[in-house]
Amino acid sequence: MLFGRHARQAFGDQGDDYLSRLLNGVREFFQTVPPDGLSTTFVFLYRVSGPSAYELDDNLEQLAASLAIRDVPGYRRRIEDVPVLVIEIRRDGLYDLAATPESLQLERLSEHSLVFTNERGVDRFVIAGRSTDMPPFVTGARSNFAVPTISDLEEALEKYRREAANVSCPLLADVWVGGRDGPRLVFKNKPESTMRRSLERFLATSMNRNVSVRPEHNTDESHPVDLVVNWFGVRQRALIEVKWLGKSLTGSTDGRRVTTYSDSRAHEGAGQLAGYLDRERSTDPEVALRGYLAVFDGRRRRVVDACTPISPADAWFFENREISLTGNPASEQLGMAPMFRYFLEPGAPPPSASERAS
Amino acid sequence: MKSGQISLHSAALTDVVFLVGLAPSSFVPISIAEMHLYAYLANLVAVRRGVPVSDWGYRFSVTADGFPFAHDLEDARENLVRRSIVRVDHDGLRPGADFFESEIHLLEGLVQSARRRAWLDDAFACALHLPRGAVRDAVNHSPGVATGLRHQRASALLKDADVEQIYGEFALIGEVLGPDAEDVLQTIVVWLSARVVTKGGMWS
Repeated sequence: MLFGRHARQAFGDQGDDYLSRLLNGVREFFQTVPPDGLSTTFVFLYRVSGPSAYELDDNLEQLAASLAIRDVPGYRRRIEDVPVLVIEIRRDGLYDLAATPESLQLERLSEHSLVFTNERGVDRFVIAGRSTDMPPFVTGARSNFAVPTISDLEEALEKYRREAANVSCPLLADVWVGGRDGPRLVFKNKPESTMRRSLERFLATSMNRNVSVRPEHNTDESHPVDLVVNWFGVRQRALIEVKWLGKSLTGSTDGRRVTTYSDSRAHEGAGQLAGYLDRERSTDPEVALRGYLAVFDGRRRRVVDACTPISPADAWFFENREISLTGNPASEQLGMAPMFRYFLEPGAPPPSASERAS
Repeated sequence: MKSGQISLHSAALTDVVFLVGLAPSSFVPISIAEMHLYAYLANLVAVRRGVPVSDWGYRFSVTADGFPFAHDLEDARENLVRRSIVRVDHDGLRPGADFFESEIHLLEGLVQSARRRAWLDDAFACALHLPRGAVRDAVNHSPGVATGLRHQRASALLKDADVEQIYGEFALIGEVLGPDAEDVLQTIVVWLSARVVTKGGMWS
């Protein structure tokens, strides 16, 4: 943490103050444009003296000048598309934004400015030609000065995989005919709401404190997405659509009538999620959006009914059979993340190698 | 001191006005818990500058949940909210109506407020150098707070033994930093950073 000393050596007694202004600007900007999930390299400048970055670099294309922080979200789409974004934090607290297709000569810029960069998750100060990396304090976050949002959520979604697989969550035990200790072949009637509650509870308790996870968020009057995640003080939102695959009872009576959902259900969910993202983006364009499809995969091969045992090889047949969503119109462009498929393990123990081969 | 009996320019009242009015824009609005936290950090800055704990003006304790907390500061906050000088919403504390500007100008003009403002400014500057959340995490692992948190019971902070330990840690950092130890901010930032790094460089 010797950046204050570097700043003072380079720019005199005011160096500490300049550094505080730079860091305040970095934090404020990242609260408004959360860097999680973006491939953009961010270059922040606090110019102390001398020529501006534009005068020093012909490749810079100015995007906006004298922006108040509240106006920055209007440039979000442009920002997300550029390889290198240069943000000059002005003395009056306003921001100048510029883009460049290639990296800048930071050492040269640092003769007149305090420079902070964030590239591929690495924070770096460049002060008077001296480049120093800042060790990561926040596991998983894109920057020490950004609140972990998408990365925190994705880590939690990944951890939930174990929770779902072996029915560690007591709520999930209730989705199976026969409960946790049964064969786990067929779901009870309408298991989706229980799955959603299980995921909601897990996310709400396992993510950091400044997050809210709520169910049934309406993207418009008739289209509720299953879960919405918002972060306190950060303009980032995630929509999560929950789907299940396998067989479920259509009633609670004879156990013979079932609804079957195959992998086409996941494609259907992806299409729905794309629609939600599109509508949400129209109604609230200032918020960065990310969409997730969470698929509870309870598929089994050659199921007879909810209670008749099947071979371990059939019970575990779909364990590693991923579902490809390529070709779906819902894409990275709409802010959709790769699907999280949670294979829900059957009650039978995994098959031996010879049983798998048969 | 009970609510409603606060001196108009008490240390606690001065601190609440400065904390709400001078927080860097990226910290705004500060939550009530952060108000207590940054005030406590300012007290540590003052200790590092050689100010006796008894001169701070009010005492901190640690809650059973591990939050630094000062009753006088809370009373001052309530007093200011009641007078509409500060308003509180679900996000945190913000300056209230026009009274706030006149209040902060008045305080800025007082000689006795200048030192408090400097300590609070230093506390904010230290906090800017660390990730949001890291300051609280580091303070949670500092002498006094860590003990209270471990036993899950409220207790007074900056007792003699705590202060002695903190001085010892500052001295150790001073030996490492050499001439840079004269820089109070740097000492405090290193002191905070070390507490986060030594427990694995991460928090949840």
